[in-house]
Amino acid sequence: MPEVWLYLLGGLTVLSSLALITARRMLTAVWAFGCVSVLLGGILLSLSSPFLAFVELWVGTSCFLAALFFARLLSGIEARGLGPRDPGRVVIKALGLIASLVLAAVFIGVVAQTEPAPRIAAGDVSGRQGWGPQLFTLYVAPLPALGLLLLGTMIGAAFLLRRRSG
Amino acid sequence: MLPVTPVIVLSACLFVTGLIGLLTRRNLLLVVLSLQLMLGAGCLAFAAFDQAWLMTDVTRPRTGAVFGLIATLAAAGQLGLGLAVVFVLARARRSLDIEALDELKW
Repeated sequence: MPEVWLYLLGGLTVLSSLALITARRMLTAVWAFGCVSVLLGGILLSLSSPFLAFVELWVGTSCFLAALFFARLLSGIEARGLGPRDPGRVVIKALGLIASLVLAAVFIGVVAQTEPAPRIAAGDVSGRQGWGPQLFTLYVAPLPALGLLLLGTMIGAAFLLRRRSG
Repeated sequence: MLPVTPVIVLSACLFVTGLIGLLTRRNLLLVVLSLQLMLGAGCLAFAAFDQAWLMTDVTRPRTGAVFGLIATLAAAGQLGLGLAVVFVLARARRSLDIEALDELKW
């Protein structure tokens, strides 16, 4: 039965991606992108990767909202001849939305560090340890640096936007 | 345990779809979203191979899943910067047509 769900999610994902690349309107493409993100999260959940699915859903939803905001903004700009009165405010709102991505990176570091603690404390160190300390020590430790990189990217984008729009 | 092969096939389909969108669409926003689709396909492949290797040895470190996480977050940062560039170009050039973007300074 789970395989049926996997095939259903996969088919819907392919259809959504086809809708994304064949869309005639920007908003349609952005909505299709949101569908792809959610469906990918569902498939990752089916693959017994709940944490990766959570991050994919979080990041995908944030990207979808940001892209939706930008698409609406650009549509409005095109409709008004590319001349919004106060672009600084909308830019700050958009960057606040995108900054939630940084929270995702921080969340990864915190959960990867604390989640397996009860099992390890109970002596359960055999077999599959989930997102255990091996991941944190080997691979996840650089993620705060990645979060800082994301934050720097957002700040750079904010400066770029404010300089160009101001 | 779910089969891994269909997920790999799905990942390849998504990657090819994103590549087609990247090469054929002229709207800059759609190009950025197609690139995101390709990165999502890569993340899915990472997760699928991680699952496949986990079936052979449950004590293996989950390298594929972690690389999938990093790819997802890198894609998020890339989309944030990409959207900023899209917005700036739309204001500066009054167009999102990538054919019109043939200069490195504007």
